Amino acid sequence: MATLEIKDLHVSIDGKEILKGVNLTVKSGEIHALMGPNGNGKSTLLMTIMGHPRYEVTQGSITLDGQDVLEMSVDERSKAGLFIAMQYPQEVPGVTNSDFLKAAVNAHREEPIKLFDFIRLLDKTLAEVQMDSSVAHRFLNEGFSGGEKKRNEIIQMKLLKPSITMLDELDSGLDVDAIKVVSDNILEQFKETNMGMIIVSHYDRFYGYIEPTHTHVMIDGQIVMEGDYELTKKIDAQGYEWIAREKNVAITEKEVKPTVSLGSCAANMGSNKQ
Amino acid sequence: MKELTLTGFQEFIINSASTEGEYRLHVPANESASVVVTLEGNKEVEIDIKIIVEENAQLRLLTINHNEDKSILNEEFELFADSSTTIAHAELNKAQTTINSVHKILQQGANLQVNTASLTTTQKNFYQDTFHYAGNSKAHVNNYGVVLANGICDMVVRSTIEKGSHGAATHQSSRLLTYDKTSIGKILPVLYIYDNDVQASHAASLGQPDDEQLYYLETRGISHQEALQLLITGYLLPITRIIDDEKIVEALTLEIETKVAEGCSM
Repeated sequence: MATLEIKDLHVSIDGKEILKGVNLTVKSGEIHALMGPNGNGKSTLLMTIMGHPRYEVTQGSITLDGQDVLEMSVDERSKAGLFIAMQYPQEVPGVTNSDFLKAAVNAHREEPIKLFDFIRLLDKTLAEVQMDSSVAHRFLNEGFSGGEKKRNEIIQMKLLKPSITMLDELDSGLDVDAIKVVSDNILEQFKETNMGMIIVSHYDRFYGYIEPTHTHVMIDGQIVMEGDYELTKKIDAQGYEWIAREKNVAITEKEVKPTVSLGSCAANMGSNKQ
Repeated sequence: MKELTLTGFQEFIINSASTEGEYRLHVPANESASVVVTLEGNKEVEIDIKIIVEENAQLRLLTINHNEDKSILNEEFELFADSSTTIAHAELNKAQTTINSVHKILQQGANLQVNTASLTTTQKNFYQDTFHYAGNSKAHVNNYGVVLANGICDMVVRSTIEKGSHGAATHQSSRLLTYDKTSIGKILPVLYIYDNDVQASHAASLGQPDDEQLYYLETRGISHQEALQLLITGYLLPITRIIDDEKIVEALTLEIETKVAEGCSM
C-alpha cells in the first residue's frame, strides 16, 4: 500500500512561481485525473515530484509512505516506486533501447538480471504493447514516431512496476488503436500491482478507458476543484471557463515565445535576387 | 621502411619499443582488405605510414592505441579511382597522442570515410587534411571525442576541394563532449572550395552532457554516474562497427566500457 502525499507545494522556475500551494494525496488503487488548461502547472507538478532540477521547491512537502521525496535524488525517487511517463521522452543517440532498459531494470534489483531472462522479458513486453522487436536495438527514442515513443514509455512502466505512476499526456501522439493498446496495458498493470496513478490528459477518450476514481482541476498553480469521473466528463463537454468563473480564478495563458529570426544566409540572399 | 601488401583480413601489432617507425602499405587494384593495427608498448614513438589504395580496391582500417607513452602518428593516404577506404582510430589510452592525417583523393569515384573515437585524459590532437583532386569523389570525416577531467583535445579538420573536382562531396562532423569545467576541447572546422558543382558541409559541437538526457535516464533509477557512463559510452561505440569481426567488436566494446567507467570515476 503506497501513499504519495503532497502538502502546500510551492514551486518556481527561474524565479517565477508556477505552483502556488498544491495539496494532493494519491494512494494505491486510486486513479487521479489531473486536468486544467495548458500552462497552469500540471506538468510542473509531475516533473517536481520526479525531481527535475529546473523546478525549485520553495515551500511545502512531498512524501511517499512517510519518506521525504524532496530529499531523494532523481534515481532514488524511481527506486522508491515513482514513475513518470513523459510528454516528450528524450532522444538519446548512441544508447540502445535494450542497453537502457537493462540498466533501468538492474537499477531496481539487488542482483543484475540474467541476459537470457532479460531478453525473454523484453520480448514479452514488446509483444504486449504491440511493438516490433527491432525497437530494442535502435537508439533510445531516436527516430521513433510519436506513438513509438509513448509505447516505449509504457514498456518502461511495465518493466519497472512502480507503486505510483504518473502519465503526462501519454495519449497525445497516439492514434485511436494505439490509445486502446496503451490503455489496456496500463489497466492490466493497475490490476496486477494495484499502483496509484496520476494522469494528465485533455481527452475524454483516454479517461473513458482508464476511468479515474478522482478528478482534480488545476488552474493558475492551484487545485481549484475536485470530484470524481463525472467531473472529467463535464469538463470534456463544457471546458474550464465555468470553473474559473465559479472559483474566481484567472486561467494562466500559456507563454508563447516569440520567433527569433536568424536572418538569411549569404547563399539564399544571392539566390533570391531578381 | 617496412612495405606490406594488404589483402583479406589482417591484424598487426606494432610495439612502440621496437617499431621501425616507417611503413608503406598498399591495397592492390580490385582487392579488398580489413586491417586492424594495435599500437602497444610504453615508449614515446613517432610513426610514419603511407597507404595507397589502388583502383577499385577496398580498405577498412582500424587502429587501436594502447601505447602507454606519447605517440605521434603521421599518416598519408592516396586513393585511386573507384576505391573505397574506411579509416577508424580508437584513441582510448591515457597517454598523449597526435595524429596528423593527410587524405589525398587522387582519382574519380574514390570514396573515403574517416571515424575517430577518443577518450582524453591527457591530450589528444587530431589534425586532418582531406584533399579532393578529382570529381565525383566523396569524403566523410566524423570525429567523436570525450574529454575527461583535466584533458585537452584539439581537432583541426580541413577539407579542400581543388579545381577540376566537379561533383565532389566533402562532409565533416566533429563532436566533443566535455566532462566538466576542467576539460578543454577545441574544434576548428575548415572548408576550402575551389570548384563549383560540389557539396560541402561541416558540423561541430562542443559541450557537456545534456542535462535533460541525464534526467530522463535517472528517472528510471539509473544513478547519475551510470547515466553519464551510458551517454559517454554511446558516444564512442559507433567506432566498433567498422570491422566485421565479432571478437574485435567485443574486445573494443569492452575496452570502451571499461575505460569510460574508469575515467568517469576518477
